[in-house]
Amino acid sequence: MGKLIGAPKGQTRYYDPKTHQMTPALYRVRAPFFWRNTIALFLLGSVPVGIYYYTFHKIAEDDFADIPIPPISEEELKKLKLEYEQKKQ
Amino acid sequence: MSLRSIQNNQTVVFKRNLSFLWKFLALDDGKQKMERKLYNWDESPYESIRTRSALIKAKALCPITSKSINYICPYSGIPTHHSKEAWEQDTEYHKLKKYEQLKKVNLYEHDLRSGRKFTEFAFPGKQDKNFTINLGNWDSFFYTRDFPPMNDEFNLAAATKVLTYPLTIASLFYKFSPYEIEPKGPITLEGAKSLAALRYSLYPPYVKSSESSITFKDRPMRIFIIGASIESMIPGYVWKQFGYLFPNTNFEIHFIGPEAYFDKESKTFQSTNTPFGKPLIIRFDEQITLHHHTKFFNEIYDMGDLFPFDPYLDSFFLFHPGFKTADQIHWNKSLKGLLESKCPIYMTGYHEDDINKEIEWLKNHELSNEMDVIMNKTDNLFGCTKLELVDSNPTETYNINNKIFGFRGKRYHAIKT
Repeated sequence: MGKLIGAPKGQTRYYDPKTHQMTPALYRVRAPFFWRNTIALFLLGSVPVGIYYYTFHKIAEDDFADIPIPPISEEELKKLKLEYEQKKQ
Repeated sequence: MSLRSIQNNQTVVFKRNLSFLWKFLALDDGKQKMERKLYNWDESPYESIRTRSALIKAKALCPITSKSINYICPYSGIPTHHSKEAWEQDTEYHKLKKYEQLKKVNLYEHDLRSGRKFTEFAFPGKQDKNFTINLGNWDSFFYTRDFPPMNDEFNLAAATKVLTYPLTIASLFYKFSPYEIEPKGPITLEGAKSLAALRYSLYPPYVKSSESSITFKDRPMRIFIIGASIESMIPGYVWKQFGYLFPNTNFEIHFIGPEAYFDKESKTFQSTNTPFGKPLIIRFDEQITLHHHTKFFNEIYDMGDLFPFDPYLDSFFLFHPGFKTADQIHWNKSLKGLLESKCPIYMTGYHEDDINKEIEWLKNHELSNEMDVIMNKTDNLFGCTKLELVDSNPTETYNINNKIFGFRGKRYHAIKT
């Protein structure tokens, strides 16, 4: 379907039909609310962003020291080291 | 490609990005300044403007030399002074940049006669119940009522010139009125009482059973416009826009005054010539009827045709009354009736000085101690945005309905002893 004949009804008229940019009339309608809404956006947005960074920070701090490593004998350790050196070459 | 041209290209790209940012931040309203042709009023293509120019030259006096006006201000195209020397000597005129206001007057007058497509007069129909109307200012009203977008000041000037009268009334009565009670706003305690009475009729309390409910609306609400002149020329479909804001109430709009009827054939304000001094009634639809009374208010009041007045259903509007003009005798007589009715009376003024003059007249009147102020002087949010010119003093400009003030006859309640 092409464009409907006649002036488009509804608030879509407040956008330019070709460029879809806001008309000056819509800028004036929005003006009294714009700055407070923007500030509210950042205030509310800072909550999830803050939670994300806090979690990231907390996880990075963990060195897994609380996880027990099974005991290993000196001989076993030497053997493993040798194996490792050989693999490296 | 040379280095410079690359740099130039970069700045272009940079600018484009920035312009998007500015647009997003609403710091650039996207207004492309379109220059309109400025005509001298003597050389205007429209005859009515040329005759008006001649009228100014005949009537007005130069503010500097007090001689007749012969010089057309080159900035505004309007005849303002006696000669070029006088125009140069008028330091106030140049200091306050009055010519910019006059230039706007000139552009508005030519725009109205240009015969362009007046899309702003494609008025919307009934309001959907799910969408609340915001009467905070003109722009919010147009947007929430689904008017076509008023993109430039010329659209606004044309639309507000006719809508200022119904909207000034509606902004006071509306449930979510932009005018607040003292100390936050201009409405005094007495004014809040008057508005509460009117809103009781406009928004009756919800009552379940039909037996216990008392119908207060046994007749339509009446709005009296006293000293009507241009208001009476406004067609019914403009008043219907007022009706759409209060869809559950019927209205009678009474125009009272010698200029309350404009005859379209002879193009003059005329007496209606109806028998027995009855008003000429024009029924627009079942909600809105327009009544034209071409007599002074005091004459109609003495005849008693409009009785009884009820502060729950009636209100008076005096758009630019001009108490101190030639009609002062009639205003003197009318004021008694207005105050006796105990209905709220609102009046508007062209600018600060004008409304101050009117208030001063009321305060110095012998009936002033029978009067309560119900609304302090304030800017009318729904004043006309089109600048107008005073023919007898062409350096003075004004806006219709720019200021608003309200008063009422004192009411005394029964007190238990």
